[in-house]
Amino acid sequence: MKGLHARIALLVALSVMVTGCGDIDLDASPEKRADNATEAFHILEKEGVLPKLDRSDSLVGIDADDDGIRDDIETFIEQKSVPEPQKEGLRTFARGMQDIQAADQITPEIAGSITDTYSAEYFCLTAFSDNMDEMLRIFSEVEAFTANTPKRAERYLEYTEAMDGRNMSLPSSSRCSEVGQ
Amino acid sequence: MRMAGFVLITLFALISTQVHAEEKGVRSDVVTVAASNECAFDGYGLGFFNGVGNTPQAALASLIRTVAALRERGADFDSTEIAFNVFYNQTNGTAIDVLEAFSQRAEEADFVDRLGNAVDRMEVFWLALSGQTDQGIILRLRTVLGNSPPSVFLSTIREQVFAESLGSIADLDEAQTINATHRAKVQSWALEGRRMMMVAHSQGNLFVNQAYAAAIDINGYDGNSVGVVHVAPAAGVLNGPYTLATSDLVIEALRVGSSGGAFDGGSLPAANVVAPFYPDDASGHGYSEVYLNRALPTYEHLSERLIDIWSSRSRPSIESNRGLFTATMVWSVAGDIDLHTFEPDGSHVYYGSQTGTSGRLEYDDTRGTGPEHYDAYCDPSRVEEGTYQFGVNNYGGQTGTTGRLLITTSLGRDLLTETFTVGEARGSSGDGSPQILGRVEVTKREDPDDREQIIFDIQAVH
Repeated sequence: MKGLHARIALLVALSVMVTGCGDIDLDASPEKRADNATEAFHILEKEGVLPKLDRSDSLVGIDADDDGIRDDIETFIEQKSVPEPQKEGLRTFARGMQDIQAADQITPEIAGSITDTYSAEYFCLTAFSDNMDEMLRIFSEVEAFTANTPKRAERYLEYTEAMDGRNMSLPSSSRCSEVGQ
Repeated sequence: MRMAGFVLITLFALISTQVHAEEKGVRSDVVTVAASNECAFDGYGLGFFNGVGNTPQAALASLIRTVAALRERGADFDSTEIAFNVFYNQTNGTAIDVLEAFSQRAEEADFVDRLGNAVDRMEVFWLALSGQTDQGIILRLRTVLGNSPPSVFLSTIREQVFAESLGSIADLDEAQTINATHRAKVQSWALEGRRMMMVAHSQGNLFVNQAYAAAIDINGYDGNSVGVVHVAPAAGVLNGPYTLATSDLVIEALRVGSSGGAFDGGSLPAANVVAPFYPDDASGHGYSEVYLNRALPTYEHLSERLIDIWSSRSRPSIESNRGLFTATMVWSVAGDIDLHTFEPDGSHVYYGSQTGTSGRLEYDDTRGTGPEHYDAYCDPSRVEEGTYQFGVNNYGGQTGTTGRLLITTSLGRDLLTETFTVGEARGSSGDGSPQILGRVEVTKREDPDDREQIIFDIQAVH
């Protein structure tokens, strides 16, 4: 099976390389160039495209106001121009992401329980909104920014593994739509 | 705009009261029903089975995009009560291998600092995995890096995860056992009399076929009521229409790379929609990036199949059993295992006494792997307040058989999912002392705003 695995992986890798030739020409853009990856991140941070993230060694980072959201993530959410209820939905999601990092251990029950705390708002505030694409992108960014170090990423993978085989049951349409969505 | 704001605020307040008040491990729901005892029910269940390299958040996003596509095609989400569920699965060793090798690969690709050390900014890993390879932050990073190896590294992280995943998919086969929790959900929906549509992407197709089989295994429930839409199917067996793009390199690699193996890639269906190479997703495989991308012909193709299946499902002939809450039990090895319910007034509902004061045992399975199904009556005047206890007795099943108990409300929300293992068969001598798996506390009150409505607060505890 290892051989098969390798064969398939190689095929895809080759395919990506080949098709990569048709990729966009990034050198055509008169942008400031970074000499290395670290500098590229610094440029984006200076531009405000990428927030300066907590990269401390701990899983939870700094949450000075103890509201369950890492301070840098909270600042990122506050800067978003979305209606307050959606912003609160983002905060709830951020708390869920932080709970994953803060948990003593990740079991399927704990993973399911944490997912329950954020999935309802995530679903209802996005699926029936006019700014679905924007909201989905911000949710992805909150997820990515929370699991931003190797240690945090590893913990987040533990969570995704613990969720294997579980249901994410969501509010019914009547619950989301009875308010006129 | 003002209206939209009001709607969002109201919705937020509604959800907050229901979700935030919960403590971890204790799940509750508030169900408001008409006091007039209207049990007629025309419900629907929409389920999504995710593909490779998806986090739960990404799988949820895929379901949301499916909802949006259906609504754009005119699906009626207002007159029918629709339950939504993500049937989450994760391929073993998908992102993990790539994550573990991230630093090494970063170093090889010059994704390094000025000292040559790998840059372990893991946020780019997750952003790339979520399909943002050529959007927002990743695109900006790639722009300032130009056509350099680090830039190419960023654009291929997701493809590396897909590549790693393929070997794991090839380890699966068409007879892949559906997770018991997923089966309990599907069969619960069928027993409630819901029509169903299940959408599966990539490896999710292996699981959705088993879910489909589980649904039509219920007496009175058939393929006219449940439909499947396969997207980029990593499965040769299909139970509904499919969409597979010519540009999908992942499925093509699986087809070629695993032909003749345990997983027969040669049986995969042929691509049926011509899609150009799309630089934003070089793999051609992303659910959102390719298949539900309005800029590509795949969107038209897939959304047409979604609305076709959605619109053509008919109500099942099975009697609609939309109880105020339901308990569905399934198990892994065929045999006689029984669900026992103790109602607040002491009524014991089980195979020997199938009608209680507040509900009834709808489905008793003595030879298979379930389900057994208890539902509290939909008539609010008959449902008593108090504690309901649910237990299992191994009447004649195999020792060590595992199973799941799933308790949901009539609004489709899961309150409790309990895994159990039975001891030795005890026959009827175990009927009086089943192993208790979970409890449900029910209180009811008049709706202060509408006296025609009864509000039930339903809480499940282990």
